[in-house]
Amino acid sequence: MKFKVSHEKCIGAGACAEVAGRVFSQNDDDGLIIVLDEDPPPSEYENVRQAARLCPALAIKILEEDSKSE
Amino acid sequence: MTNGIVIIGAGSSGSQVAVGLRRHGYAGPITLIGDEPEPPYQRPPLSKSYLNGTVTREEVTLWSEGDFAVHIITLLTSFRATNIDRVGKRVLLQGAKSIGYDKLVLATGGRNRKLSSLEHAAFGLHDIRTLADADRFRNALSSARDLVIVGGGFIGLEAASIAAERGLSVTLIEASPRLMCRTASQAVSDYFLKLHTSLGTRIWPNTAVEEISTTPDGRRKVLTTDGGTHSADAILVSIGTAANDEIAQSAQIATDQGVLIDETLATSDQNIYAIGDCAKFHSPYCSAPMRIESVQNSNDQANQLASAPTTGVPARYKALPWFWTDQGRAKLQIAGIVPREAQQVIRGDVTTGAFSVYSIVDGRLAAVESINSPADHITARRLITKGVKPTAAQIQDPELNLKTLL
Repeated sequence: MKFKVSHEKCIGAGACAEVAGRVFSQNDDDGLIIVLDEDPPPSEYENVRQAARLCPALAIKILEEDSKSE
Repeated sequence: MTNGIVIIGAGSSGSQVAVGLRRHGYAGPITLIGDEPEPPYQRPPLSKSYLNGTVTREEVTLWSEGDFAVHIITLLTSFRATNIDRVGKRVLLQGAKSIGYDKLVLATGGRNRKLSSLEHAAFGLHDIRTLADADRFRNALSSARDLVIVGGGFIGLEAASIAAERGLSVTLIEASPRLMCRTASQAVSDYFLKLHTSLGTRIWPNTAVEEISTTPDGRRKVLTTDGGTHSADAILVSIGTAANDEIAQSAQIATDQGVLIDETLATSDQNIYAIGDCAKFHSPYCSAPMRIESVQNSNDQANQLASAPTTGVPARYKALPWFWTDQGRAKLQIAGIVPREAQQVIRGDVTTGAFSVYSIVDGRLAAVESINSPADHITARRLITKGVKPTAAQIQDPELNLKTLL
């Protein structure tokens, strides 16, 4: 799975860190998204998809779904 | 047998409660009733990235039909709840069907105000609330040259920046003396007036629509109260919302331009809750009861409610309100509710386009508006929540990291 995040769009809502805490975190200084794992295991794919959907600023874009995902 | 939880309104707060209940382990039946044809989607992008075409319909979808099937949530789309039988604890749906509930959640949202005495339909006026509205307006933008926007709040200004960047000639009419009058301070209004003017948008404050007419060539002519006339191919009306509280009213649940709720989010009927844009309440961060229309409020109220049946302890809702808007090159983030009267202190340099306005009431920090300054915003959320009282000198000191005051 490939995804990209946009600091320009990010508003520090924190939804990503809440639903996909192994993949995303928030910078303590500005609240902006931090990617903890750029190539997460298939077990995290659904969480990443959910983070992308729940982000109110749509700051996470899924570029490529992966065939490994179920 | 239990009837479970019924949620009226399948927008962001309603759907978030439904899914959240399952996350918290609630095992009873959940029914989510929405009057739009689509499964739940995000509204904020409709006047931002969805409008300018950088995100797709799929990307604004919050939850698919499949998600609800997985969570064993019954989603009824294109269904309108018409009444509530509070004695029998049933929701009546159009078509004489009804559904029993143990607990009912009103997440009915709001609807856009229309221009009074003018027929929206007769002049093809646009507004943005639903995906269908956004599609229709996006379509109009693709062929329009002259756009008139009525209302200079977040939505009108977001649309103005997108249209101006696309090369449309944009005229914006605002009834109050300044932009974002209800949500922003004078300094922030002034900054955005300059920004939109620099994008080519003509802004007319203290001005309202007097009359709209159709010219012989099929275009619209907008006559304003200051005697101006503005030609338009498309007109967007963005003058705020009203709560969808009629179903509560007709069931004799207490309302006052919004469904009234207490700290536990319960209405005057303890088996019925209200959340999101339709709910009116006294936040500890506001001087009076109000509706808070934001993703933050929608999500935080939904999450609190979703955890209630499993924890059994009704929590008190006291989340700090925050908001954001994207206009041109400026991202505005607001922590707290900007008071009408406050001492205002600016941190940073307005001319650089990255600064924050701190509103102080009786020594206490009430709200902070940050433009292109996310660090100020995040720190502000914590400062306000903790009740920190920074002095004007501390706020203005660029060498001082305000985080150290926490």
